[in-house]
Amino acid sequence: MEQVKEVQIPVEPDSRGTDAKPFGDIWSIGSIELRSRLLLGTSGYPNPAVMLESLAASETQLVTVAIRRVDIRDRSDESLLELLSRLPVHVLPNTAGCYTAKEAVLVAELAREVLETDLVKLEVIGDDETLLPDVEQLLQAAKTLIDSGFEVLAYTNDDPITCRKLADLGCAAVMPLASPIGSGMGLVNPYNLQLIRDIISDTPLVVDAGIGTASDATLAMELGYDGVLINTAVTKAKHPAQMAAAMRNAVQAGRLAHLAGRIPRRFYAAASSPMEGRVGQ
Amino acid sequence: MTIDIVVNGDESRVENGSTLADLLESVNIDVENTRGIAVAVNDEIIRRTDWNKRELNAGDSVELVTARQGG
Repeated sequence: MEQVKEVQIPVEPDSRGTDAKPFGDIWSIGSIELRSRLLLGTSGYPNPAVMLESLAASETQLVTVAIRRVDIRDRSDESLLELLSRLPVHVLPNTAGCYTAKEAVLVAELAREVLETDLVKLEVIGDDETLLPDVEQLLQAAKTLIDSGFEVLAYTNDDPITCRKLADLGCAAVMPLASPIGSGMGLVNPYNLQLIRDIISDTPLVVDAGIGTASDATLAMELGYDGVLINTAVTKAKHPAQMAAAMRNAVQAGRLAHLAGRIPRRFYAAASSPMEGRVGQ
Repeated sequence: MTIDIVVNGDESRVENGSTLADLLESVNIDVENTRGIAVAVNDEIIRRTDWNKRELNAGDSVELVTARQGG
């Protein structure tokens, strides 16, 4: 047994990395530096007040928006960017709803004009039912956009080879899905997500889509992902701001557990109390 | 004399010789001060600085977009 007098009790818990947000645990996507590892969507909140409350509770620093036609007859819905400017967040436009590389590239270029940012969440979907990515079109669009100076965060299938290709193209982040968008099914193939993390160490990885509740976000982070992107699980929760806070804590817990290093799984028990000195032996 | 164009998928009519800036003003978009809007004509991005230079031609398809809630 260690001599108690030799144990140094840190004055500041932070210095041992036991704070929920370890000091200096900063990561970056393209040119932006982030302390929060929770990325949030902005779609589907019951009203703007709940959206602001939830985004604040989540402590997110990066939120997604869609690019859509201006409603020429009613422009009252254009206050989103003004609302978001009240929070300390970067705004990440997406190419949601695009089916071809050509459409996605055009929407990304429009997004760059709208938001004056090179960041883009690239989505190129294959059909309406699953909203699963069309990999062929996705890779094509990613290459074109990266060649044009975009910082591409690519939403993709949980296929290790596709993810590796996207990383090799120079994506700012690769974002495999946990399960289909809005399904809340959680990590349906954690084995693939682990493989992806194992083979990609040079590019930030974010689990995007399918998160249902806090434990899903924790598991993604425990697998060593750099971040988690969540929309529906928060916005459609009974109490969105509460769920946003739960996700904040879940992501931090998963990150800490990953850094701390989990014990290996074993088939048989390993006594945690000492065997010697048992009564009656 | 007017020409027919398409604006955000809807047929529209503008004076011959109108610029993109004229069209935007006609739908109450403040060309000088508005931020957060982008424009494409026939799938080509027209930068803000070119809005008052780009003349509209018959058959042009104009897309005016902004940021909306998204995931």
